[in-house]
Amino acid sequence: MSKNIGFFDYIVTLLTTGWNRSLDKREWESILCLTFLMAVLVLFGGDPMPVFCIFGAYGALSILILLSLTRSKPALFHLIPITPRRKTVYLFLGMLFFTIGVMIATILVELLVAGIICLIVFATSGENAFVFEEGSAIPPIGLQGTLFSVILGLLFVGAALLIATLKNRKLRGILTVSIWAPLYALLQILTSVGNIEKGKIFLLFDTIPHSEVVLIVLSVAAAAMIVFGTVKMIKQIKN
Amino acid sequence: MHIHLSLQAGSIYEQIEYQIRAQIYSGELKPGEMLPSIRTLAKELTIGIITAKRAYDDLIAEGMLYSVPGKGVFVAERREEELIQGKLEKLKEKLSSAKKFADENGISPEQFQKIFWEISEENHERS
Amino acid sequence: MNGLEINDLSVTFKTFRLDATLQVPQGCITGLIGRNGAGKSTLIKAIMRQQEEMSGSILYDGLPFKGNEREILSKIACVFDSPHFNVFCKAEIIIKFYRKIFSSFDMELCRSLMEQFSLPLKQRVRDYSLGMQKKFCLILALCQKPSILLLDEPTSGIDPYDRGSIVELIQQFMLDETHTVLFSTHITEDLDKIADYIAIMQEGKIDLFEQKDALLEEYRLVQCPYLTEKLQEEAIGVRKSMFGYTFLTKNREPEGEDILVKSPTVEEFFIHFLGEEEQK
Repeated sequence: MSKNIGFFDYIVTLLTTGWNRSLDKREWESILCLTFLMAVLVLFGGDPMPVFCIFGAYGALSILILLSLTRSKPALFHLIPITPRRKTVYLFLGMLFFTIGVMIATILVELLVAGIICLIVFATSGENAFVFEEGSAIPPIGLQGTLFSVILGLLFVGAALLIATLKNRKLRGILTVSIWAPLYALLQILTSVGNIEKGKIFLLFDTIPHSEVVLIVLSVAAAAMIVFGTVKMIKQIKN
Repeated sequence: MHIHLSLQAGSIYEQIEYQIRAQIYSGELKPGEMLPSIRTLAKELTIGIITAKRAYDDLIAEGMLYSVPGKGVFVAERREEELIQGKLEKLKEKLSSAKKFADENGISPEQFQKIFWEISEENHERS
Repeated sequence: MNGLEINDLSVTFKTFRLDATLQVPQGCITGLIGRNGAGKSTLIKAIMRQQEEMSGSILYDGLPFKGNEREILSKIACVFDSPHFNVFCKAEIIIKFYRKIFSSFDMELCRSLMEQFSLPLKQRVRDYSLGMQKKFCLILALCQKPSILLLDEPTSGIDPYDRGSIVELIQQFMLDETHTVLFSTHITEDLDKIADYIAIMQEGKIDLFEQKDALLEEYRLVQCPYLTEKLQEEAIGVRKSMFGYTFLTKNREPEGEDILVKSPTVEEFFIHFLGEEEQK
């Protein structure tokens, strides 16, 4: 029996050979659009970001990218001799690593751009922009705020799973572009507007009631979406 | 061994059979000589494997070739009388089909014999 | 034994439905012919597990896919109608991937074949000509050392010289009697030469599957100026031209005036066979 392909080779093959003509154009558009939005909003959306929510969004992005790649057929990826169990494990691990990778990459880009902007400001006006104003660091958002952020992140992951496992290609593409990306944008704008105008992190918190009931309902919805999406995804991957 | 195929000259396996047979009769293929395997024959002549197999199978059934499982196909040892016997049988077959044609087309046995002798003598004179 | 055993395979998308049952014998070359849109590519993709929605079963050298995924994926190889990898990569990168993915990949063979067909390693596959891409895909498939090889239109768009070398490569592969080849094609000239079995596909179904020699021997192609009642009865797929009629018949010795009888080629058989189906 031939030896197994390693995890790293597997993911690299998926990422590099997946760029195939047969991949849905709309899916690529939505993924690129999402990435762009995230980069822009991370850059200009203000520092105190709801961390867990963003982590969920990155996870959702990586789910969309990896699962979109596995859909391109015929592709070398589907011919890799591997057991379905290993395939599923590799893909889940891939999503995890990919999420972390994208996060680190975005933060690095943000730091780089911020640095450049500060340098330009320094060069033109002589103002030292490197010194951050006191109080603008991440303010405490409390237990409820943290929970809300986690649940929002999980909602992203669940939505991504559900959208990515839709069978209808067109529907999948349209949903990703028309619902997914604006939703994320809206959330970002709400938080950043709140940040700028009121000095508060979550304007969203003020606009919608976030009582225990809402939190429970949202978390149940997120859990259901994730469980349902994961089961669907495993089924599809194994096929 | 050499074989050349022509698309116009009837079915492929008959052409192969005919040419191998002719080479055995002429002594070009010696008894005990190994022939290429079915798959090699198919590849070299760009023909189907089943076509090549059929040609060999027919010749094996005729007793011209024999196969040793796991080794290959060889030209059969043949005694002189057997060879002649084989040829005579082939001739008889050909003549009986000519006779059948004559009967069907209303050619009398006398006319048939006359033509037969004419051909024999023509060939005799030529050689 | 059958290299591939396809039982009640069914694939549906939009208005098209594939419904196939086919036994591809091991050790033989089977040619799949059919018009555009008959479902040849879909069938091949289904065998290569590239269709998400499919029912029915496929046995590979007698093994079902479920439970033997790894083994089967390492024993089947395919040349699809378009390259199934990122064509923006250089050839050598793709080869590197293949080496990593398939532990049976034969690098020596690959190197010598790339040289034989003068395919540059340092060029992007996208910049290859169509014929070169086809050849590259075939080389990759062969170097995987598969036992079942599927080819979707391996010789279309390729000049006669290279077609010859591709046919030779396929026959070289067939020197091992445990190997199986299934290829689809429009160019029946190639089939005339090397195929052992022929399957005709139409509207998603296998209409006919038979040994090529037997098929061409069973039928005769007849050309005649007039169509007598007797001939009409036996005629299959009659085509009329200015100078008379051409048709297939199962009667090996049809009678009539000024009549020309010969063995059909695969192409002639195909045309008249489809003609008959359409008339029905």
